[in-house]
Amino acid sequence: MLSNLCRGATRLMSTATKTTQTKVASAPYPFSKTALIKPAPYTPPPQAVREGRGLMEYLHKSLPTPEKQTLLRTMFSRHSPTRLLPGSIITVTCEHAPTSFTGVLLAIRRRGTDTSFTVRNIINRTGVEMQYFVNSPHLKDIKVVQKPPKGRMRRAKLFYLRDSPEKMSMIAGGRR
Amino acid sequence: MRTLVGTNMNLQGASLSSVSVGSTHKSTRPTRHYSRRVRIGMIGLKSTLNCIDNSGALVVECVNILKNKVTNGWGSVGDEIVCVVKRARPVSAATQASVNAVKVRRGDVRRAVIVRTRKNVRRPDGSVIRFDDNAAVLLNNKREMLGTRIGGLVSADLRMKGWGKIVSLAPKVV
Repeated sequence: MLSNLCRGATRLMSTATKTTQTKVASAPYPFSKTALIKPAPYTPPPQAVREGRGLMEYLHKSLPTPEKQTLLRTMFSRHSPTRLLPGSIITVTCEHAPTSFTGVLLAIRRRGTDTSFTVRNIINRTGVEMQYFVNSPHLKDIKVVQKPPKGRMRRAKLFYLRDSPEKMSMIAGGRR
Repeated sequence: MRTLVGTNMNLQGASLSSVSVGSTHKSTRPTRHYSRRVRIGMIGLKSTLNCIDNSGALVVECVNILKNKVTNGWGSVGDEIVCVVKRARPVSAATQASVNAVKVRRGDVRRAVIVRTRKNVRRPDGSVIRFDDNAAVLLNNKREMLGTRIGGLVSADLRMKGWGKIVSLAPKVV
């Protein structure tokens, strides 16, 4: 109760422009900013999960935060219309410095909670590849700058781009 | 049936005893029976690195990794190494005379710090970074840079290992 009061008070007095940090995860009461919201009561996992049946599915639903779950559902599922396609140009925004990284999406590794993707770019004549894990709290945002050329690439993993910079520049050049 | 059960038990016993990280079927090194994989970086003896400062060296070859009680002779970004200059820019007589910058020659043994590796390096938040080449910056014995400028990208993991001066001189940090 007291912690909720403090939380409400600091929210009122905060002048920060960052909205993501001050927003409550699931926006429980959208009609008032000063409403006191009790944290959700702890529900123990169902009996089946405690015995071990359906454990991984339960973890996939419960471990990531709601924002990460929507991210996984919209961008990283296999059949979503807005899924990320390898060969598109992506900008990844992190919380810590260096804050953003842009590059060609080379590969998506779908492992539920451990889903990650690799982005490649050539910076100062050196190729750099970064692999980001989707459920990391440091990963703020993923934006698609450009769709892959001709709508899709013919491979799921574009590791051949490491050896051919001319193909990389074709993708970056925006040939449709 | 009895013999079948017997063989199953033997197999299980054998598999349990031979479980160890870093499977032993290839390497002759003694197996380490703790679960953390020790080898992280991949710069070791005879590894070549590009030298990206203006000290005159172009390619250096690693001879030794310093302070490697944990990594068993393998270095990663931010590790100090001893290296031999394999290729250097030709030093003209004029620059030889001037005392502005130390110019190294082929065959010099110097210290260096690794700034980029081709091997993946994990960041504390779990993300992984990998460059297309190995690169280093030459140092003197007091951990100060020999050159005055850095001509290339460096990894941001240097800051965590205490090389803030190099990070501040670099044109781009990723």
